[in-house]
Amino acid sequence: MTPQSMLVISLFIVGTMVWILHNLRQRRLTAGQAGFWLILLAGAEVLTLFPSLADVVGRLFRDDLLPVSWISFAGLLSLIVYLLYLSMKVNRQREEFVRLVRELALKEEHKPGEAPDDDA
Amino acid sequence: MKGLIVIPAHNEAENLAHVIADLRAHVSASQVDLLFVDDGSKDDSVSVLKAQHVHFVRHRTNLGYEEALKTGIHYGLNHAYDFVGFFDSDGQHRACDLLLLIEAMESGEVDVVQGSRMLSQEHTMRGARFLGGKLFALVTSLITRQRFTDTTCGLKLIRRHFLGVTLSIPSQDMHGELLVALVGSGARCCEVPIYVDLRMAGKSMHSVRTAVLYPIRTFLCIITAAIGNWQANDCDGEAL
Repeated sequence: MTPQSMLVISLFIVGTMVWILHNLRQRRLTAGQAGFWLILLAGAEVLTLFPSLADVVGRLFRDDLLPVSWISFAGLLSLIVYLLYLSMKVNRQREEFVRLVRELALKEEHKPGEAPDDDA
Repeated sequence: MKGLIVIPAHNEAENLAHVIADLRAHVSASQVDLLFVDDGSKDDSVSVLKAQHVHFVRHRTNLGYEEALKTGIHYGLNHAYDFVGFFDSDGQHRACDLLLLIEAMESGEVDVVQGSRMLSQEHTMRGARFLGGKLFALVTSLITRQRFTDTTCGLKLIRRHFLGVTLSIPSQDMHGELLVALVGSGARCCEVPIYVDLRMAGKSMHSVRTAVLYPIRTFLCIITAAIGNWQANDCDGEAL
């Protein structure tokens, strides 16, 4: 990797980290979500600045994996796990939402003969 | 014995007056109470329900057919009904058929009464819907080792003791998967022949997109129901 490539990738990673911190400050991300992405980006930054580390990790495997292979695999795996986690979290929120809508509906029951209430 | 008939409605303003009139003409208030569940309709459904002076609850936003049924089930549990039934608001079900289901439930010999279009002399199911219905019924029959001819029919009654199962299973429309779970929990089921008319007005909740996803979701739910361990109870703890 040329120094110029390292600089461009590092700048992109640092820029993304700053953007994540900004979103955390604006409360568009939770601390947990921001933390996940910052850890992932920090790992990418370390591998960008010290590419030889990727070779060292690759040699740990018996098949002497190419750095690009295990990095791609690890990245994909992390994203799949995180997406699964988010799906479960969205579903939990949905269930809570459904429960609240239902509770409200049952509280605001309209019986025949009762005076109409304000349906704002 | 008193039951609650839950009638979920989403954008059914054009059909509701007919459905209400049909139910009032055939069903006695001493037998069952009617509860309409407006599922966040954007049309005049709520105005029609108010004008018709019927008992209803209203979801502030659209949650889907199954959640509307579950709202009705929670109401039934909160108010100690002996059984809860489902009746569609699109004008396809006939109130006179509902009486046959109630009669079967009141006999005390069954816990679940399922309406079946296939058992009647004439039915309006054609093409892919007919084949899909047959396939779901076949899979449900094989798993439960009990013959079902029509599992996708929305007209059914469930005894109170088994309502907890309906709330706990992963389901999408409370059809085949519900029957699998109910039979698994020990419910005695039977089918009653019913007639289903063509939709009078409005749009079906099924589209081309759902036609592709529906079988996949249904089979997934049936498999999940088949491997689950469902216990019937008096479900007082389930009430909201």
